[in-house]
Amino acid sequence: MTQETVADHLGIPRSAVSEIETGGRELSAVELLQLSRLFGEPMEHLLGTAAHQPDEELVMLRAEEAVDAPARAEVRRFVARCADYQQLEEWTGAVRTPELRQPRAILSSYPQARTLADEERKRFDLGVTPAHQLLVVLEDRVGIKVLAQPIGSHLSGASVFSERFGPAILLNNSNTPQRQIFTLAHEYFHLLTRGRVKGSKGAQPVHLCEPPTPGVSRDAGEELANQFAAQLLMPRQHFVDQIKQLAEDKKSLSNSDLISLARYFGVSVTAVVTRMAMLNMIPSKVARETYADPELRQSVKAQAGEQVLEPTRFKRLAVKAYLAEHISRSRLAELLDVNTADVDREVKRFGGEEAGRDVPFVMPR
Amino acid sequence: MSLSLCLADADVLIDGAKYGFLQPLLRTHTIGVASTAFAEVKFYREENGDKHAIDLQPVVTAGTLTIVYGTAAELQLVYARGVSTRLGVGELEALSLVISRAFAFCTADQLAVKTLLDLGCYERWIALEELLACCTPPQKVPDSKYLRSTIESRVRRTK
Repeated sequence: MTQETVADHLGIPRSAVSEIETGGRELSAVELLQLSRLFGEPMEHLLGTAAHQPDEELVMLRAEEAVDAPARAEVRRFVARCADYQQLEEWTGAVRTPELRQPRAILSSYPQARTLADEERKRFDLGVTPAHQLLVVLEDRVGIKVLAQPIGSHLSGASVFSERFGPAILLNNSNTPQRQIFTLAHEYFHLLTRGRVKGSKGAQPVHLCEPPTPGVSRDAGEELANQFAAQLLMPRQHFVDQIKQLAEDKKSLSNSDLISLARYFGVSVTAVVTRMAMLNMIPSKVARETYADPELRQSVKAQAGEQVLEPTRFKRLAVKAYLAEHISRSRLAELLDVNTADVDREVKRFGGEEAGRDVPFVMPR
Repeated sequence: MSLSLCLADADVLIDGAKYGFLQPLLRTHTIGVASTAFAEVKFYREENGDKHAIDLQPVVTAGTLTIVYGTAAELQLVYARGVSTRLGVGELEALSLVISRAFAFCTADQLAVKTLLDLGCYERWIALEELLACCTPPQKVPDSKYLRSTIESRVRRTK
C-alpha cells in the first residue's frame, strides 16, 4: 500500500505518513484505529502487543497477494474475527470439535466429487433442497465458523483451516444470497478435501475463490468444488424430475419457470442454468445465452425480494458473552459491526433463547 | 491538562442526549471524551426504534466538551496489560488516558470499572449518579446501571 493511499485514508499529508514511518511523528489513537480498518489488522497487532501469529496464517497473508488491497484487508479482518470467534466460544463454553469427514481417496474426477456431495447430504439429512438449511447445519452442527463481509468483486469467498480456530468460511455478502449459498457449498468442499484433490495446489491454509475468468483454466480443485456444490444443492435426480414436471406440457422453460426452479432449490438462476448444461439438458452455448438475457436478468431482479443470508452463530455467541459479562457493551458493538446506540436492538435479536441455543450436536454414527 | 477533567464514555453521552441530562452535565463539570469514543456518538434510538441524530460539534466548539486525543504509545500501555479483547476501542483509549494523564472516567460498564481496579486506578472511576447529583438542579439517573452500588456489586461478582 502506498503512502498516498494511507495519507488519503487518514486525511493527513503524505509527508506526515513518512514522518510516522520514521518515528518523527506520533500516531494518535484515532489514526491507529483508521489504520487498523484500512489494513484489516487488529490494533494490538499494529502496536506489536499481540501474541505471535501462527505460521499457517502468515502463509495465508502471502497467498492473498493475488487480490487487491481492500479485499486483502477484508480477508485479514476475517482471520482476526475468526480468532475473536474462538475466544467467544471459549468464554461461553461453546467450543466445538469440527465434524469434517475427509474423503479417504484422493479425488480426481467429477463423479467422485458428486458422490461426496451425496454422502454429505445424506450424512446431515439435508433432503432434496439443502440450500435452505445448509448455513445452519454448517454453523451449528459441523462447527464451521461462517462469517459474511463485503469483499469486493474479485473474491466470491474464502476458506481457512487454522490450528488456532479450526475451519472457517468467509462469504462475500456483496453477492446475492443465492450466490453466497453456492459459495458456501463450494468452500465446504475445499475444507473437506484439504490436500486431497489430484492436480490442485495441495493443502493450503487459506483458499481464496475468485470468480471464473473466461479463457483461463482454473485449478482442478475449483472445478471439482463446483461439481460438488451443484450436486449438493441440486441433487441430480430430483433436479431432473422437477424440470420434467415443469416442462410436461410445453417444449421449453420460460424465464418464470427458471426463477421458480431457482427459488425452489434456493440457488441463483445462473446456477440452475449451469446445472442444466452440466447435465447435458441444454448446450453450454444456450446456457450462456440464457443467463446473459437482459429480460431474464430484469425478471430475476424484480422478483429478488428482501432475502438475506446471515450467519448468526458468531453474533449469538457475542451477545451471550456480553450477557455473561465477558465483554463490554462497546466491544459487543464492535464485534457486531453496529453503533453503540444499536446494541440493545441486537441483543434482542440475538439474545434470549437464541443466545442460549448453542448445544453441541451429536453426529449420527 | 487539568486533573479535574472527567472523561465520559460513549454511552454516557448517548444517554445524556436521549434523557436530556447532557447540557446540565456539561454546564456543571469539565467533561472530556476520548477521540475514538467521540466518533461513536452519532445518534440515539427511542424505545420504538426512532433514530435521533446527536450533534456534539456545537458543545465542542463552545469548549464545554473536550475531545482528548490519546496516542498510540499511550494505548500500548493498556494493550500490553492484555485486556483488549474484552473492551471496545473507546474504553481502551479512555483507560490509557486515565493511566497516563490522570483523568477521571465516568462509565457504567462494569468490565471497564473492573479494569480500572486491575490497573490500580479504581479511585479515578466516577459513577454518573455522582456527577448528576452535583448538577443544578440535580438530575435523575435514567437507569440503575449508573448507580455506584449497582456497578460495584457487578464488579465484585466478576472479581
